[in-house]
Amino acid sequence: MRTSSSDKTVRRLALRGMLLSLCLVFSYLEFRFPLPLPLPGCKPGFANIVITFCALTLGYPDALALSLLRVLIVSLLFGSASSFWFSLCGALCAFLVLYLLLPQVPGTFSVIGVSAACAAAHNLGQLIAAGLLLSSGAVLSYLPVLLLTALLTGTVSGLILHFVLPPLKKAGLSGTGGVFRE
Amino acid sequence: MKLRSIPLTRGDRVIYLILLLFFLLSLLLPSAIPLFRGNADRVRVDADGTVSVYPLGRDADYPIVSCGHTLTVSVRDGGVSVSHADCPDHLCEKTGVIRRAGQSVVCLPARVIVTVEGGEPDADIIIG
Repeated sequence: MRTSSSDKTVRRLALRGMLLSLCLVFSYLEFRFPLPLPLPGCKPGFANIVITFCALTLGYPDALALSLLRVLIVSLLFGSASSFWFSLCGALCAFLVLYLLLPQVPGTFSVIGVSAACAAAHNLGQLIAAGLLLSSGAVLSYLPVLLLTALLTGTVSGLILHFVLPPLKKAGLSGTGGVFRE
Repeated sequence: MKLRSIPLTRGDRVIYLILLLFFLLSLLLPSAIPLFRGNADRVRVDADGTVSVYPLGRDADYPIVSCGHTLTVSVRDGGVSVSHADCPDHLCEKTGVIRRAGQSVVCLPARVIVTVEGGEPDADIIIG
């Protein structure tokens, strides 16, 4: 499907807006309806699905912008000063892992493993931020739970992404100049 | 959604293996902390930099105000817990009772860390 340059720009713009909104909706839902399990700070992390998808269709700069905007807006709307730093650190760590691992998809990794790794990096980043902010190593007690939930939620996110990509690609989202490879 | 259609690559398995390894290692962390500590005899409350130390032998409730949140640190039967907190996640309350030296209860929104301590006060290493 050949698209003109301005057509591509408009498509990218529309996609960016849509993905940001989707990210915020996921974040809001996770905030409004937390998991009923007594696990500390465990969230489904579906926003990561959107960010990974963004990296695949729009490229890494857009994905990074999406991630940072999400952190900013979510912490402004229903977060606190502390949660902003935790989120920021987590999001940056997750993006770093995404940037390192995603080029190897498909092939060495699949989106499922990458999602799990990103979730783990996200939680680890949050823990490091908490440890630095509180100047305490005691926060490491959260580590086992965080890693386990990251493994599970990351896998779920990855699975969702894996099954959602082919239909979306068929819908013609690959004409936006990204790194779509699936 | 057949299970066979999920392409879990060999790299994925490596990722999961590494994560599982980290998880298992992190389980060993708490037992590695109380190395030089003796018997637990006091509780140290670090509220956003302000440190207070209370005895573990006397049952009491201590109200802690920090960063706009109020917590109640309760000492009962040689153990300490956060019996009440007005933070949004209440994870500190859910942590329950700690009684061994090195264990701690953390409240991130209030920036409060409650740690059980014992043995020599404020000594990192005891030589001799």
